[in-house]
Amino acid sequence: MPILINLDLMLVRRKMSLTELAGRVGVTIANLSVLKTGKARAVRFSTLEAICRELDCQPGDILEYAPEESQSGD
Amino acid sequence: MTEAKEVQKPLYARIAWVATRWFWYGSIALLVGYVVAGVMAAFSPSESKHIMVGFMAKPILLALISYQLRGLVRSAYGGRPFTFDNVRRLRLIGLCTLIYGPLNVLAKWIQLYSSHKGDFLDLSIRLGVDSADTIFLGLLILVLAQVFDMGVRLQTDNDLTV
Repeated sequence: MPILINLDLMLVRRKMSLTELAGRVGVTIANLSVLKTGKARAVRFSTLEAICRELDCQPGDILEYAPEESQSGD
Repeated sequence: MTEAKEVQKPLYARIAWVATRWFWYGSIALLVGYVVAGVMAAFSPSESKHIMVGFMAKPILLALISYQLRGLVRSAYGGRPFTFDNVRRLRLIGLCTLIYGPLNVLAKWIQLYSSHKGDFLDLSIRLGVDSADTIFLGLLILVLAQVFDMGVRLQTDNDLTV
């Protein structure tokens, strides 16, 4: 998947634990862990909004597009 | 700490739960009966030994179907029916149902043939007509299994949506 999740990086920057963020956002730790490890297939806008609100960041700070080697045309 | 929520199951679910359990017990009893009859036929001097082989397929298929059905209802009763195990179960039930009719007809025909009353024309007509309903039902279950397969994929997508 060429979409990378930088949630752990943002958590370190904000000095916040996953458990605390899960409590503030209103999702389970298991679900947030799925997102953090990049196993998630989709993110709801409402979840993304809540994460950005609590971490005081933009969606682009959490999500990153990194094209795979085989997809590059050159 | 996880809280176990006790949800009252609907009446039809409880009926299906009990019915499949008794269907399973019944099919096992039938299978045991056929095995005993088969062993007795094997030691008897009659010429009908090979007839039992054809008839044995019927209780084996019934036991297989009821066992898979039991697992299917158990998982549905547990609240998570969309699993790949259930797709496999449905496919097996579909295949068993599909061959149940033709095998039944074949077993009957073997019986008739051994008593010199059956011919190939009769067999071909019987295979087509008498087993049409189980073939149709089997195909229907196989299609349902395919729908279930798509349901499992949707369930996985939903589970992995944060």
